[in-house]
Amino acid sequence: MYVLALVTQKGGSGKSTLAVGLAVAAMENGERVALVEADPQGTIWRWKERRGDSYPRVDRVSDPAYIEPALARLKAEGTWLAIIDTAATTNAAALRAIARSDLCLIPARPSPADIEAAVPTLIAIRRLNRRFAFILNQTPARGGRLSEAATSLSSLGHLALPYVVQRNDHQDALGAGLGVTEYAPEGKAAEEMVAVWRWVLKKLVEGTVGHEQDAKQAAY
Amino acid sequence: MSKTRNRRPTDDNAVRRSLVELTAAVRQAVEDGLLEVPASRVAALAEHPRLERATEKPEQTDTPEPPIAPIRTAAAEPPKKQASRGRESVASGSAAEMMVQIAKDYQNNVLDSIKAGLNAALDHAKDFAETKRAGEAAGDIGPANDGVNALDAAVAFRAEAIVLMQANVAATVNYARDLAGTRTAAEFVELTATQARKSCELMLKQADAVKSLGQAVAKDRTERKG
Repeated sequence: MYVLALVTQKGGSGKSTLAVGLAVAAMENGERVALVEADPQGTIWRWKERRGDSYPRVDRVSDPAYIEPALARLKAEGTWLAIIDTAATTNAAALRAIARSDLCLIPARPSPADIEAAVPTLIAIRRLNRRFAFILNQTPARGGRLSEAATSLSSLGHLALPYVVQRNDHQDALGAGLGVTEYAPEGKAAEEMVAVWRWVLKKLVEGTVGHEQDAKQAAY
Repeated sequence: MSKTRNRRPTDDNAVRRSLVELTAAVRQAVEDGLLEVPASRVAALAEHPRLERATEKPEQTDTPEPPIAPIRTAAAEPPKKQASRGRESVASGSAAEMMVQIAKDYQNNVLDSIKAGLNAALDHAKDFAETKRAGEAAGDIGPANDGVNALDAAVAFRAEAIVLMQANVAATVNYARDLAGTRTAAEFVELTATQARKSCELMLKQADAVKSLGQAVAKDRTERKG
């Protein structure tokens, strides 16, 4: 079972929305997926209540020490991918999620606050020797600041591609209890989410691709 | 007549800071953070592994918290003391301490799993020996002591394996603790290399133990059949 953790102590960076979008995109790809919500805010749990579908499975853990048993149980039940959504703080739950993950995704908007907020998360990831990638989220469709942010994040580590542009479909899908690929399958948001999922899948399955190549693509 | 609006800040200090420059500062902060030495806390933790810490207050949210799905897996759920340590770790405020705790918890879980596996193997060997005895009593033909000797070997192996695994756990915990206290990159490299060597030595010992068990059982069977 692969474990993907969405971590950053910056609130509002889109961890839960991305977790849901990626989970549904992976599920549509035929994978057996589960979401582990380690965020007391309960965004995913409420999404699940609105959803009215038993898949993807959502497990909510109230104590950091329960993350490992939850993952063990999911693995025993044949789950192929577990996506852990963490709270907007570098707490014990986030550290355990990082420690247990095959890949950590750090969502960041193209803003100084989001990039600066990644420092504690990056320290934890590097101390725990985990693989990670930034994902530029809620970006403008184009512009110099986007390129600047991409260049900046690429200098710190891998940058997932493509960038996730700020689109209403993401929020509307969350409100409807759907993944963005279910809500507007033909939309650009869905197209981007599928592409991001393919990028993540490649990282999970095939391992690390050269950092320079990613940086070049990101800066392009 | 349209009015032209000047959106440029007039104050020289209000110039937008480049994200690239900011990222350079972030990178430096990460490097500094990696070499941060929480020596006093790590030392205190080393001396008093179960150091009392304040309990973290839960985060306050404006919205009512939805019901939490209980995670109840008897085999995999950690003991209550581990759960409480998880909360205590949050309150310590030290990432290094939390990481040491995570390493210890993880290693404890691994050790428990290994013990469970070995016990299951031993039980299997015991059942096998008892079946042999029962078969012999019923007049079946076969090497009567085959299973019994396999059982002896399995018992010896289990004891040896547990000792080795405990050594492995201790080495890993010590490594995590030392790592949290490294001051320079050179210390980090040295510690990591030492840990790699220790791990290899332990793995070789464990491999030898497994090999010895297999040889003992094979030899015994050959002698019985001969």
